[in-house]
Amino acid sequence: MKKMDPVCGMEVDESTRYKSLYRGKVYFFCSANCKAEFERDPEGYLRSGPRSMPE
Amino acid sequence: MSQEKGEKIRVVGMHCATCVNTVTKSIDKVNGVNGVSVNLATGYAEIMGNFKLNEVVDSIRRSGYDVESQDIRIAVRANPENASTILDTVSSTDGVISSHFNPATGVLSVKANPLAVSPEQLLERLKGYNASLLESSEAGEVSVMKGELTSMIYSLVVASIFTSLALYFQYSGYVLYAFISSVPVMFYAGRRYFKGAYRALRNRTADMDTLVALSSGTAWVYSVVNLLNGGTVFFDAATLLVTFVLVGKTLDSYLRFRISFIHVPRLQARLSTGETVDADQVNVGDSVIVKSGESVPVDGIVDDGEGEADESVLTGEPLPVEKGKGSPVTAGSSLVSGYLKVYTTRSGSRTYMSQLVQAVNDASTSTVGLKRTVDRITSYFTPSIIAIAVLTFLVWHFYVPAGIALLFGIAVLASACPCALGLATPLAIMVQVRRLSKKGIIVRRGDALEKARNIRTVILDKTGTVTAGQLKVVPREVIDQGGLEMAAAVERLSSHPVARAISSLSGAEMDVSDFTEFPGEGVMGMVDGHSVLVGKKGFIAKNCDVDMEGDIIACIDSRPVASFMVKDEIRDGMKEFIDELKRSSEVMIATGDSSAFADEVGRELGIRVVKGLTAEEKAELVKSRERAMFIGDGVNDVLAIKQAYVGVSLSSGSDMSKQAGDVIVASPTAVEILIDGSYKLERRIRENLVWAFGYNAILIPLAAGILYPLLYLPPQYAALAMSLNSVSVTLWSFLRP
Repeated sequence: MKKMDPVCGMEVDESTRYKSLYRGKVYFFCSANCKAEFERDPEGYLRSGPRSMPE
Repeated sequence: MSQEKGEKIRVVGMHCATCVNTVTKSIDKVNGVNGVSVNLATGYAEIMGNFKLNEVVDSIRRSGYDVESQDIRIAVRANPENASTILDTVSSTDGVISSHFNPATGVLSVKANPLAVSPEQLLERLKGYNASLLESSEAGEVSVMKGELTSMIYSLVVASIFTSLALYFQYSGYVLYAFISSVPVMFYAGRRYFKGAYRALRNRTADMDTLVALSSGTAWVYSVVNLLNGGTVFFDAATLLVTFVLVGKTLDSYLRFRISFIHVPRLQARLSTGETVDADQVNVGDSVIVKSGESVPVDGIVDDGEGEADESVLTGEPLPVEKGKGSPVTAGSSLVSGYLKVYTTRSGSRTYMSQLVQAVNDASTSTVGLKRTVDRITSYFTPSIIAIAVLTFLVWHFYVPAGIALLFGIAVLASACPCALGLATPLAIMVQVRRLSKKGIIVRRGDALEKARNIRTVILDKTGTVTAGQLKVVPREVIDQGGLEMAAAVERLSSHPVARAISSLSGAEMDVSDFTEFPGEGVMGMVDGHSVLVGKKGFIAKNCDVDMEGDIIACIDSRPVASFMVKDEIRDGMKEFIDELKRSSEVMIATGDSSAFADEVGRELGIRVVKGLTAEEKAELVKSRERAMFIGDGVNDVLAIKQAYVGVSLSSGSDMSKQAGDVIVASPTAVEILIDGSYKLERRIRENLVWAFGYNAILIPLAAGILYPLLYLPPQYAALAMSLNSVSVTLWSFLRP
């Protein structure tokens, strides 16, 4: 099943190893960078939606 | 001012531009280096200036790289007291990184830069020492000593026969025949001493050969002159002197030959095809069968079968170790019970055992600090003896006939033995290194053994060194037993070592659905309609209100139910060992781990813990301490081990750390035995020296006729007693417990 990366907006597969659990919900990422970025400010990303690929 | 030189070396291990910088910096900071260019593609470094190559190599190694070098072994025929002259000659040659000369075996080992010096050039430098190149290391050394021994025995046989004849003729009054019989003794059997004396003279020194040649030569020439004038002759003294010196030296060669090497036992291997071959003929990948009571012939992995292996040869640990499918086995250990089919990974000279034996043999040949003092003393020894001999002759000259006075002088020359002094240190090192290896302590560098007693700080790695390196999970707080069982059920689906440890805490079978693993963080799953979350505290905290202490937390439906501590057990005997160390040095733990467990270990052992360190930071810490010993096992300890005053690695550790260690031990607590061995070494060296000096101090006055006519030592007996001095030092070294 495809999911959306909440940081960059890319579509990612559920089987990815880059995932995070926040408030009981699992989020999937395209890369370690996006995951780290999300974990730095989960509320921000969930409120305003995907921005762009982090540096 | 000495002139500037340029030297090219090949650096090993550079794979990036940063490496080039690091290497350049490490070379640049060496004293005397004026310029350096390092090429990443070729690995070559060109260095300009007036520097010492060994300092450059050391500096490069400390920064984590290595330099391509060639080991050259040369057989040198020289007396023990010439060791320092030989080393000076070799080490002043361009391209020589380090050199060791073992007077006990007559083998010179040189580490050299192959781009700057060839073995042939070294031989050229050692012209006049009868130097010859050795093929393979160990076999070469054995054959050198064997050759030396055979030639000694041959000379001794010739000397004995013709000396008997000379004695018979002289005492029967046929002086001319006595003269004729003495010629083969002096010039065939005794030629090595005359040649040696000539060589020493050319090098402007004097050694044992000088003394033997002078004493026997003077007696012989004096007799020949008197033969023509019809005076008293001493062909008996001259020939007996040579023969007796040969007796002692042959015995000495034999003893040293017998005890100089540890040999890897020759093993036979039974291949799974049914064929039996020599162990070094086995190829990697071959299957070898080992039955109960047999020695394991190769290094490998157990493919099938099980049993118990005695690995005490390698580890010093007397209890047999269980082996089953997948266990590593090592050549040289023996199977106490069971049956194994082993997949060969290393055989012959590449086995761990062979490498250890080579390392121990190398360490036995290294020289230590005290030896330099001894070398200085020996360089004054021979000239002083010659002066005493002349003085003895002059004094006696007034009281007795010139012939008798001359005999006293000759006896003094014959009684003094500088070689026992030269042997005192190398023999003591050899014995200590050997003894420690039997206890599972592999000393790879002899100077580390000498330095071990001077350490001021001991820094230990934590995981795998202070602790056993086996993770253990202990429940810290359990609010809900049912929750713990659910957590265990979810963890069962993960293969992470911590997860496995938690799953083993409960045996309850439960169905888990919707399992998700967050690598390195934790797991999640549904059990009986409850959401179960287990993982690192930081990970869990984002999803559940954690109000518990612990490394791992389990939450059911966002409510914490249990917490766990991840522990690694402290090794047995660690506390006592550290308490003992604390009495003489500062002890601390340096670890990469930054968890609370690291502090707990420190509290339990009562020592300081520096945590969260990278490999470089560990090395920095070691560097900042005076005379620090570092004990570690991992790849991240390599830099610290190299940087340390004495670097110790564990035999269970990574291959890289073992390569870096000066000493390899099975358990850190063995360091206590190492330090003890270091004190013993110092004592033994002193004892040997006192013995060798004392022996001379008693013999020389006796030979000079101080107790004449009450007690008198004719030259031939003085020579016999002298040559037994090195025999006694050798025996004393090996027989003393």
